[in-house]
Amino acid sequence: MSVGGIIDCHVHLHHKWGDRFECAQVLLRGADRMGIERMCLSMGVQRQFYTRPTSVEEMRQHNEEVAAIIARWPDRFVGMCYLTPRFLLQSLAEIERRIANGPFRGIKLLWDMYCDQPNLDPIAARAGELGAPIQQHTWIKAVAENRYESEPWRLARLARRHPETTFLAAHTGGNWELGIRQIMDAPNILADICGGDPEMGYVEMATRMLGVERIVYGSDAAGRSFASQLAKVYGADIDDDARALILHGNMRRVLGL
Amino acid sequence: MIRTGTIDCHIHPTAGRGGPPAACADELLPFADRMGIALMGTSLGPTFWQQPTREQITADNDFNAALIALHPDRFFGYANLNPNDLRFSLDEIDRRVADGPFVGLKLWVAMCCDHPNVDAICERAAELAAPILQHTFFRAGGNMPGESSPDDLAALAARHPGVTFIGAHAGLDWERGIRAVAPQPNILVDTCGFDPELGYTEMAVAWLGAARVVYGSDAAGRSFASQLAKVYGADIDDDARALILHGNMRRVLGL
Repeated sequence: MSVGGIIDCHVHLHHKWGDRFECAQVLLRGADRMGIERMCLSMGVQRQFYTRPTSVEEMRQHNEEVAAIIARWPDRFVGMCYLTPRFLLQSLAEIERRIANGPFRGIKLLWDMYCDQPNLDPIAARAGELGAPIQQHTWIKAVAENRYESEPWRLARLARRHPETTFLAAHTGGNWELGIRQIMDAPNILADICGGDPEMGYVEMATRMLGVERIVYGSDAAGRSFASQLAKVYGADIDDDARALILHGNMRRVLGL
Repeated sequence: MIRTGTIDCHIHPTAGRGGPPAACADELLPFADRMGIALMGTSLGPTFWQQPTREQITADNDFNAALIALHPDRFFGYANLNPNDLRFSLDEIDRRVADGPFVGLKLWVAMCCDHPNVDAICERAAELAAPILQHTFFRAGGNMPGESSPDDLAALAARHPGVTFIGAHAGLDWERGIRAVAPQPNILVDTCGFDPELGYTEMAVAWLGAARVVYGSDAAGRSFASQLAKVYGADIDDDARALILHGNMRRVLGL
């Protein structure tokens, strides 16, 4: 089986590789080796581990960095606009600047607020109007708590309020056996399989419970390798049509490519 | 991206949910087909015995012999031995390897491989040109009694330059394991049985050369796909990748 033209719905720039362009080139080298045509990129390179931005300026800076990379490699990177819903007005303005006026195609939300809070509603509504998918980090913590980190069930609450908007549940909660169940009743949420060990059964269970149209390949590179995350799809006990949807077909639909 | 013709040097017949060899093959082969794996080296048995008796060794080797008989073009075997029982081990080598169809030997954790008993086994392996697949761990917290480290394997291999050894798992703590076996050119390392960590294959190629690295999975305990990711994703050239995926094992097996 040979699959080219893969779309990776979830990558970042890792500071260990240098400046933004050096980081992007590391991603491109790995992507070329693994047959990945496009990568959905969010957030800038300035931090080892992303914390809540303390200012609007910080949020904008993330998007500036991504914009510079898209400008240089427009055929390889798709911009996901990072927002901090605490700064709601400025976030809505950033949607207009980056998405309505291009070239960003989607929205990235991390842990600025729980994603079922009211501030998210105007963002989700505008995203729906623009046909921009929202990629929301979701995680079910085994121990302790990262405040404002959303579990998949919170995303399901938001998604049910905005049936016209497409959401990507990044990591499917990490604990995917719970996460898949938490999003299954919200048909406008897709499971993004990135960023955990390549455990057997993940893609098979998601296919069984969500349907293959609701699963998209992502890596979380450069924090995870393309290869280890692709193994979840390559090794899955599903047919090749399903594999093609997960590797690129579904993201082409979501992004309107 | 999937490459065909891959040889997996390290699997165990633990698929099939405790059923007979045919059930094991029926479960493993669709996964192997999907991942382009043409040939698999099988050893031990459906249950792992740390200190196997003669009966357990016979049952394990019979199980793998049956697997090979069912699919001789898909499986090759390493005869399971317990060097504590040296007489029986040498007889089993004659029964399984000298008389076929097994092509190599598997040593797990029954006895540390730096023990003199293993020398006698190596001498017979050299006569038969049978590679030895030796489990090696640098285990956090210390190895189990009888469990070999890459240091132990390096000491053994230095005494038997005519034998080809495969250091399974490269010691698990591979940053130490690769260094430990580097001076012994007759030791290859396999890629099997741990998370697909960045840098493993690159370091092995840099220190040992691509001719001393072989793909293995440790299936059914690990997936083919996750272990292939170590090779597919490695920052090495495609000639090196081909050696690791099949070229080196073809040389070792004389294919």
